[in-house]
Amino acid sequence: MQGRMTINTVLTKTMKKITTLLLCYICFFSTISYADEHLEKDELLWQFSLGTFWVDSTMTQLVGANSHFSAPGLLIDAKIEYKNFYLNTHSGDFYGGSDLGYQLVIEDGWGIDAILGSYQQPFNESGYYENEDQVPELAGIKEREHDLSLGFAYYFNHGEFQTVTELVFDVFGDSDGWLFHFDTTRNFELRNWDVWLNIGANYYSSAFIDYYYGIDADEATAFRPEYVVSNTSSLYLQLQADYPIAENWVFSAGASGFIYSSHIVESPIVHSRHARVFFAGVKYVF
Amino acid sequence: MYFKMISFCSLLVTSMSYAQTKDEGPTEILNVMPSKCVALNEGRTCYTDVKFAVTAPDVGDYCLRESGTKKILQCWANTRTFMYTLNFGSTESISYELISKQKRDTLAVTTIEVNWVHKIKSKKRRWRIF
Repeated sequence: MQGRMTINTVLTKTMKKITTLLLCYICFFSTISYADEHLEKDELLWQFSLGTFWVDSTMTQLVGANSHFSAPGLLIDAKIEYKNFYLNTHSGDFYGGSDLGYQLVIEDGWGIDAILGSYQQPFNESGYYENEDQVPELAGIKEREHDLSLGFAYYFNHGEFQTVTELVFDVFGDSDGWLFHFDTTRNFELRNWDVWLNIGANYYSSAFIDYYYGIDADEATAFRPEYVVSNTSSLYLQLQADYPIAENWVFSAGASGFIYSSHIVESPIVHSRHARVFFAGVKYVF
Repeated sequence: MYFKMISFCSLLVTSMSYAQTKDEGPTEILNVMPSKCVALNEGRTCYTDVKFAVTAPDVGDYCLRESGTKKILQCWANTRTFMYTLNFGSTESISYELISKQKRDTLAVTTIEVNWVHKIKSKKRRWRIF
């Protein structure tokens, strides 16, 4: 068992190094080769939006911790594109995270990007929300920080669907794991309404998911035994509707449901494997 | 925090009211409401019901038509004022003109502008919530 873990760790670290080097190599050489072909995209494109949203969310419940959040909140989004680079950032209580990408291959109907982003919600002894008091059931656990995963995304369109697959390694985070993501989106244009349905799945390597929901020896107590989380998957469904209220103003509303595979609740710090979000609000697009 | 939120909401409502009312500028002969159609993204067909209100200087026979294609929307005989509702749907701005059948002349021209909110189309259609 010890030997297998060591081999896995070495393999994961080697994969991280290979991924990083490969991405640097591809980005560098594709920048040179594509530079002349994409002169029309040399201009800097940017878009910021500021809005207020009501959000009601329930995260996968950690034992003893508050996993429900319901309040109005501010939302700040930024989209920046320059040459083949793009940056999408979201702040607020339900969006969250950023996507930094570089378009390596751009073809009709498909493309390949190098991507950097976060896929997992951080938490600590207080649960998901930092302003909460320490939760007795979580006391003594180490902080689980955001992953910062680097990898490739392959996009393709088929009929009315847009599908993306992503393979990323937590190169800059602490998990030493990897994650495979798949999702497909169907967009419905109903007069000026834009309604999209997104169905997705994630497959987390044991190292990745264990960093969040496993219990290390130095965290174990009489009530919280040591635990290793094996490879895990999750499924989710998202529905969002957007409507242009006026020039620069957009109304959005959406709902999402999410579920981990059943064994996640065997972790001593996980109480439920479901999560859901509802939101509605308006934003001003600059 | 809640005071800030209320202030921000007030600012939103005020700005939105301004955004909607600034489109209502009248013209003398040919009034159109609304004069702007807003879509989410460039290239997207924008839909709205546009109301034309005509107050011609004299009683006569008039027609409304598209400026570019010269397609007649509707004609009216022996009248001075009339209304017309157009089920507008276009990816680009379109001009309309009021013509007098007797004088074979264009009396007024107005344009329905098509604008869009997002300059950059989202590459990803999902949230990073979890």
